[in-house]
Amino acid sequence: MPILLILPVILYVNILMVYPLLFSTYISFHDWDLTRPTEGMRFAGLGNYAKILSDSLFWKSWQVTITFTAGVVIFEFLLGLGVALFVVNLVKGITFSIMRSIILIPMMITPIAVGITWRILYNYQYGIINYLLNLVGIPSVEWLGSSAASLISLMIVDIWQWTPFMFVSIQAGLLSLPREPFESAKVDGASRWQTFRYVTFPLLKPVLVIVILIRMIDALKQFDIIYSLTGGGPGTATETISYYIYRVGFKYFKMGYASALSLVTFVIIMALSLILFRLISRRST
Amino acid sequence: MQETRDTWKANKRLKPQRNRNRVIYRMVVYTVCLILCILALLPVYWIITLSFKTPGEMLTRIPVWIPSTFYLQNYWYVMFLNPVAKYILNSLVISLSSVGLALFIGSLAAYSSARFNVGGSNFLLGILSLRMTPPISSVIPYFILMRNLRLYDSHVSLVLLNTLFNLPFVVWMMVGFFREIPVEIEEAAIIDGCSRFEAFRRIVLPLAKPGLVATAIFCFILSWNEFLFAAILTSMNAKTITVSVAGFITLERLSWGEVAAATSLCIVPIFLFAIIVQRHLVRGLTFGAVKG
Repeated sequence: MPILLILPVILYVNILMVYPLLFSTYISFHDWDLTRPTEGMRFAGLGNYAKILSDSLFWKSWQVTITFTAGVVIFEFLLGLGVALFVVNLVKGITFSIMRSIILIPMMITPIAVGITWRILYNYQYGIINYLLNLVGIPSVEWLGSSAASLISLMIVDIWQWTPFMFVSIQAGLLSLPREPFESAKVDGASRWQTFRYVTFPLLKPVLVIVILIRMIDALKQFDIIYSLTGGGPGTATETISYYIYRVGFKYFKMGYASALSLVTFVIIMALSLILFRLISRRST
Repeated sequence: MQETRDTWKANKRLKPQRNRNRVIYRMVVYTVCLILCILALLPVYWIITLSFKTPGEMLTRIPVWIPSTFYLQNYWYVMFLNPVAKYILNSLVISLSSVGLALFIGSLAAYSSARFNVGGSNFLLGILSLRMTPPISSVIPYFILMRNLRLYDSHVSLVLLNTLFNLPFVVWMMVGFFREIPVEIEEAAIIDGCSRFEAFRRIVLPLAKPGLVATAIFCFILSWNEFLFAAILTSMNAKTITVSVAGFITLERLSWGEVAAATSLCIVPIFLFAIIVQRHLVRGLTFGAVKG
């Protein structure tokens, strides 16, 4: 009977996920240009995959993706951890509940809308970011103008949206830690840093691993913000792998090549996730 | 006796100093929290007020923090361009349906995984790996599939796909919640004569309600905010509000107020919803992170 309960999910996932993936693999071995429907699908063997090896835009988009992901995850982690440790004494009051619910709001807002909003905020002349910077004497920045600046702008938006997630998860993890190790550390005369390094951090590691992995996977897949904020950036400066595949498949309509790119991306992300998972969880045990 | 009186006196002397430090510390913490809250709300506040600004108030050197009136022209113009009510309805229908479906089959699977460990960790890892796939990788086969099945631009296709995305969350969160419920309660019910299924329906489900609610809320927000698949797989009929907002991305022939109005129409519903249900949300979020 229990197997019956689980069957719907397995069937559902298999039909709706595995089959399209297989289909996508099949397409990837063909040339299929939707702008030339009369030519249909032409078998191309491993041609698409060979093309990938020499596709500099593909590898550049991976560079952008990894830079973005690494920057964003590290920042969010440090910020979230820092704030969680900082307010750890405050957690009982009602002010904290209110603060937490307010701070969770960025996560809920539609990413597409977030991108548009920040685009307005980043405007050189009339955006309030530059206005506030000017108030403290910093000259205006062309946030979406240069390659480096737009990548940083993108990262700031993601950090704004997802640091709350890090913060709330880590703070919940902190609350759930047992009290005895901390008490014995205090008795032993440990300083705050020592307590953190030898008691808090090791105990917190499982939670940290999970939240870092979650954020890393989501950051690798990030698409909506890029679509609405920079549209790939000046040129292709902020074109992550998702955006590149989107461009190939839905602007140039090269379905075969896009399918091949999709498959390779899928494999790379899976491998990255598994490697990182093994790496981090082995260190914690 | 003498010692305790001495330490009490010593503490009394120290007390004002320690109290003052504590007060300063608390003030600093509160200030930091306040700054964080302002930072979190500022973009949202800005876009919503922008939607109510007159053209004169929009592009100013010195920002207008509070618009003078509820200038509604921006909204009228957006609604003139788009059947906004229809798009919001589409978003609502698709989100609710996919959440319901995902909750139903996901909870069943989570229950059998939590209780009987059917499928073991392979099942759980497999479901989680769904989450690892970048959406863009699966959009292309879905696009072609839905076109062939004549399901292009239909609600059905989006409901099916959103359910697929919600399943990892449902399974993951509900497994945690089900594990929290002690087996003894169910076994007591079975001894009293309930079948397994009745025990599930009458005992476990009510106990798991907070978890179901938290999961449902989380998945609803996720489905409402979904963009890529809705954009690729819909055209006129099943377009969601998210996609219609994306139509305003090129700020060229539109004033900012109009863009802001379109954006607000998308985020205000979910914003209000999130505020109302935040208590359940936090529970679900922290639960998942803590238990893993």
